[in-house]
Amino acid sequence: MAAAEARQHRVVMVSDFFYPNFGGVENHIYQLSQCLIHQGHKVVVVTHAYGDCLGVRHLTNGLKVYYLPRLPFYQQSSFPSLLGWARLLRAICLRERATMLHGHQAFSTLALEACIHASSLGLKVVFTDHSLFGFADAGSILLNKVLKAVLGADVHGVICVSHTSRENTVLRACLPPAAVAVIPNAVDTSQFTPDMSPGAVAWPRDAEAEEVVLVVLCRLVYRKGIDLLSLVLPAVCERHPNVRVLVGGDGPKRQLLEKVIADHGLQSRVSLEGAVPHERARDFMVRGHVFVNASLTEAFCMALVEAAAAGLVVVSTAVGGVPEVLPPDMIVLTEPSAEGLLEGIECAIQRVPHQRPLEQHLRVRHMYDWNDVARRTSAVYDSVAASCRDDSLPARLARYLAAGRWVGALFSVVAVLSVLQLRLAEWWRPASAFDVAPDWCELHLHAAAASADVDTPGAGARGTRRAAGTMPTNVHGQNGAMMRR
Amino acid sequence: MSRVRGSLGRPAGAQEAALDSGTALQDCSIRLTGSANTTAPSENLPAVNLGVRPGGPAAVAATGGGVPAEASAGPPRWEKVLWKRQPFPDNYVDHTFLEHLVVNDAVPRRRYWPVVLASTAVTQQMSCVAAAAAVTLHLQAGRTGPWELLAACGVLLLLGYATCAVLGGQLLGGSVARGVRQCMLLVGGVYGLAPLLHSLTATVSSDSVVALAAGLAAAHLALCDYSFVNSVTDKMTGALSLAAAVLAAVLVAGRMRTELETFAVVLLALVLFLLSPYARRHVRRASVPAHLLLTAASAAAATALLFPASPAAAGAFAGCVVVVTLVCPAALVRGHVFKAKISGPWDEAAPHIPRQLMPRKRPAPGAAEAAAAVVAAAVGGATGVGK
Repeated sequence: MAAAEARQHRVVMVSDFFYPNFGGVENHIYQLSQCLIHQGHKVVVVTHAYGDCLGVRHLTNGLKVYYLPRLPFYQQSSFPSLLGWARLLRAICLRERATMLHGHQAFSTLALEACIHASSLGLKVVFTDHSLFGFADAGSILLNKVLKAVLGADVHGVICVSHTSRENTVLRACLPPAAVAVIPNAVDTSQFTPDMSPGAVAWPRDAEAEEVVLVVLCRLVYRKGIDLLSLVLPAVCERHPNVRVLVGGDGPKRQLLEKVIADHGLQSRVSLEGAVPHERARDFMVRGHVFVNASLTEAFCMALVEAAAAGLVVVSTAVGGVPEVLPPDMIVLTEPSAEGLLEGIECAIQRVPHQRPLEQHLRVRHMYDWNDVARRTSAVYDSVAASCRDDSLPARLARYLAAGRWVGALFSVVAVLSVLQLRLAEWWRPASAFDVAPDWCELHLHAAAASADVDTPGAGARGTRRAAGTMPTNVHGQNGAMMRR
Repeated sequence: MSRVRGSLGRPAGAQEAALDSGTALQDCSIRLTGSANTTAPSENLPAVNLGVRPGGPAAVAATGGGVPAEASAGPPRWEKVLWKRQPFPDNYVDHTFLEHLVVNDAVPRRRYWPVVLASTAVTQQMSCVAAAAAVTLHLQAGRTGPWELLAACGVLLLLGYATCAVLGGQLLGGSVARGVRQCMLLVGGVYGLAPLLHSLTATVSSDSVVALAAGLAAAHLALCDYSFVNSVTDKMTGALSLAAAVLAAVLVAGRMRTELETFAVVLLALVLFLLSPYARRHVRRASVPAHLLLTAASAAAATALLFPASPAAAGAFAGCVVVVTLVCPAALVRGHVFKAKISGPWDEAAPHIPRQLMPRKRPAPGAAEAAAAVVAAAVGGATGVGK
């Protein structure tokens, strides 16, 4: 325990995207934080307020979340105010005695600004990028330039969620590839189990005669390939009279699917179930036998792993990081075209009778595990903490200028102003004036150690029993009061 | 090569006390921090010192989940997968890194003279605008009358029609009579609207009209569909540029003194901006020397028309033509050298989405009962088979 405490990191996770919003990034931050707490680190999450979800909330295992009064202005990303909340971040870091800042998602302005201010505060900074970006359009060019400046100058370590994502990030931010670690997402496989209940419908053993159900579960937007799906579904229903389709999720492309269903008279074959909350995703998936993903771009598709864990045959377009996610015998990869997807779905339908859901679930369980992700992330933290890069202001300014003349000059100005503002804040309200927040995870671990055998090795961390627990379905209490779970 | 791992789970010297019961083998290379052979750190970012390269003395520990190690299978090969644990550090860079990167795959190489040839379409359009402006100036100054202008419009219409008929291989509208009828409709329509257009901008001051017309002409040139004239595409797009040109013509025509002059100006603008692209496209497709001759002739005609009105404007126009024809292509070709379009597996797929993969089963309109019967049978069949 002494060695564990010596290596304990005190991490502030910053991102615009956190609960009560639902998505891959939010899930990643939550699960990673829970597993890091379980491994003895201290984690605090900082995000912007969601409606009346404002202030400090506590989640499972003492994970403290700060909902800051920042204004979200485009798809939950907050309005960029370069120096607006530097003092707030300083207050949080001093209160929590933070040693490390971990930003998530390049699209999150909160995370990028936090990287700059954390560097001014002298913290070590790690950044995780979760998505793939292009290079050609104006928005991407701007964002890539910003990323090049921030990742080059302020960030000590970068993590990407797949190998393709690493190639993309290295090209976008002009980083040396050895500076980026690849740590994939994971899935809580104990939550996604095949339907082994006695009342479950038997798995079809004949692809022609028995009913085969296709499941689609994604947001109904263009980049999830709904146009391809709208072309393929009538063809599949035409060629395979025994196939039914369940489409879960909602979005702007829903009308397109409804129109296709109406035009081809598929009301009895294809049903649009509407938005499915994440805690009911597994129940939705096990109603089917084949999971179809038609995305046009995907850094790491967690839904595929969830479906594979639930025992379904998985079909997906081979875009982005998808080919790296599952072994070839568990996934049917297709070209991102309508004909390719149709071929893939037919191949998957042929695979259905030979599928063994429980065996597949056990294989997936060994592949992805959040505790492993947390371990690898804390190894990154270790190496970042041990890094001896020159973090003084002149060196930092030199690194900004290396990113580009104009963007370097702009960011240098921002960095200097940030340092000045934080010095002013230090004079106005020194660190000693902040009362330090107690560490709940310490108390939790002490209590656990006291009530268990401390002698046997490995007892302290209690194995990989799911530390995450169930994800919070709602963070508000009954009347918006602080909810303690 | 070296052994991989002994018993399940803990390799020798593991600091981590925590081991899962569920997963048998961990990524032990992560634990070997601090051992020899760190990866080369960069100047900007110290590399994450995670373990060793494969084949190093501090041997790699475990291979993938549940897979028994091949003790003497040679050095382990790195695979671009995430689902199995590999005996490589998380920031290991393989020689296959970025092997699918393609630079400038669909970008055409530009050479000087073909770009000059393509820029003649811009010169032609500029000449049209300059000619229209010069003619209105002449009309306004009284150097010419509306009947000369109408005669010129008639000649242009005839020439354009003949060009399209001869080079296009088919008569516009199917027959001469229909062609003449379409022409009459166009001319008659504009003649009928002339009184309305004459008084349309009566309350607008001349300065505003001139400024607006200049701005609209610039917008027209900027948005014009040059690939149509260059016969790269088949359909005339650029409705916005056409609207800008016609609006400018209407504004300027409202400044004329008589309705006949208004009619003449609007008709000229329509002939030049709406109808001439088709004729010019035919010429371009037919022969390149004719196209170049036409360009030179139109530029010369525009300069000659501008000269009596304002020699300075004529000189400026000639200078613009030279710049657009000779200098801008050089700049484009020079700048193209720096183009680096990156593509790879991270790009968003841009699938070609056909209109429909399967023919639609839509019943004929009017056969309502038959349609109902078909749908009912289909539904009944589907549910029957679905069971």
